[in-house]
Amino acid sequence: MSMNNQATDEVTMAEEAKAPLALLLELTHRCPLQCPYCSNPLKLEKVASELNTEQWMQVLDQAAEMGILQVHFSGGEPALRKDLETLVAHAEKLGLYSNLITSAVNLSQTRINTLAEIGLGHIQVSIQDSDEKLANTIGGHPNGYQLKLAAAKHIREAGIPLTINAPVHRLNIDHLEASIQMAVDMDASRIEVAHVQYYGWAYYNRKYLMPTRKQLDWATEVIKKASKALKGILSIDYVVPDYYAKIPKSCMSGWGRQFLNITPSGLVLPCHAAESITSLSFDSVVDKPLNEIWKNSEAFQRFRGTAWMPDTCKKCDRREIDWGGCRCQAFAITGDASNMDPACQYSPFHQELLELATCDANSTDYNFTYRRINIFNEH
Amino acid sequence: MIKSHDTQVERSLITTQSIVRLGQRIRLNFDKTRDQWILLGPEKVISLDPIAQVIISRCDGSCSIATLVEQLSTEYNAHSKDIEEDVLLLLQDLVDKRFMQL
Ligand code: SF4
Repeated sequence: MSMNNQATDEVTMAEEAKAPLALLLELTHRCPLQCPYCSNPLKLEKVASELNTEQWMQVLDQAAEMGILQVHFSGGEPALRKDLETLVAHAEKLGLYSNLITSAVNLSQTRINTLAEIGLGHIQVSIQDSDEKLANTIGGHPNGYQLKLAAAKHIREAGIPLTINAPVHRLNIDHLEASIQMAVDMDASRIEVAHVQYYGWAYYNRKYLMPTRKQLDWATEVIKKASKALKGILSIDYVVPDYYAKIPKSCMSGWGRQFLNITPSGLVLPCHAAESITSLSFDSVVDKPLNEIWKNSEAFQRFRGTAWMPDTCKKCDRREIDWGGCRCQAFAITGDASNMDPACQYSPFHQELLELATCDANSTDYNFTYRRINIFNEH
Repeated sequence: MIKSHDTQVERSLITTQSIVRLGQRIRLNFDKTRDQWILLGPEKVISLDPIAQVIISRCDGSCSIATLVEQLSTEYNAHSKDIEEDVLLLLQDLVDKRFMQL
């Protein structure tokens, strides 16, 4: 990549794949909760199509071989798989750092202790809100809140570091201070305050979830103050909402650069929402080795590096910072995944995105659709 | 306004008398693929330069930062004041991130 005399701000060569850092396994799409902003696709995969234990173990073998460092066990709810312990043990044996991303409502103390013994590195527990009633309403589980509190206590007693994942949206954002305090009380070392990202179920339910500009500005202030006050006690990671942004986020640190995601049936995706780009097709670990898919599959190659970019991005200083933003959002809003992310102020669709947000945020309707497995599966 | 929880946790401030070790379930590994030392923790990989690796690998809970600084200044033939500053800065940052603990 060195011999050309071309201006360096006209990078057009397809980039070669470097070894990925992290792998997320959606062990199942089954889940005891039904959050209306779930990032899984509307068409959820059924239990019969899930990979078996041996197939997941082979995936882990291949991941370690490729130089992957971290494995996230996620879903749906990964604890609904009876072989979770077997898989975590296998990952640890291979020297992979294992992280469990869970709703925690069906994670018993016995299982937590077993996972601690096996060597699980870390657990991330989602919360729906700091108010019990609202939390249970959003999650669609009558006792979810209390079950999470109990699980968090057991997790910390077992000596496993805890992150709280707190998605925020119009219905719960005003409770942000209390939610951060809740994470401190749960003895978490970290909280991820993530504005809902509008793909999958969240895109479908967008008009019930979109915060107002005022809510957003207030939340940003809260985060600033809390980060300072809680330094060394709780790290706060903040994911800002795209629709009100001027520059896009660096989605997945760039397509096909660090991260891969595998669905319950074995499809390998560059990000969890990539299936929403209907013009792409994806390979499965059932048919091909993971490394081969990472390096050469059409879906990964399509938006890797900078060669695919529109001219505005190719000439922009941020092209290797945000990598043109999110492909799924470009597709959802503009109908073409090779456009720049409309969150970018230079996008011709930028104003439209802002108008969508403003319009949705003014809706007073609360009739969102819960994430359930059969709603979008009928033929 | 958010207050830190009184009894449970507060920020750990380190001094030269502190004895520091790796945080809960944090791993110091050599990454063969990328040919570098790393700290592996929740959702983060911190790559380490050779000197950071030396400092962290000696923080095994057996000696104070003062002792560590003394060792390093002899071995690297450098002023202990300079080394102390660097070591405190690095370790305080990692303690704040919970990658290391007292
Ligand atoms: S023009 Fe492209 S690279 Fe530049 S900020 Fe916008 S999306 Fe990012």
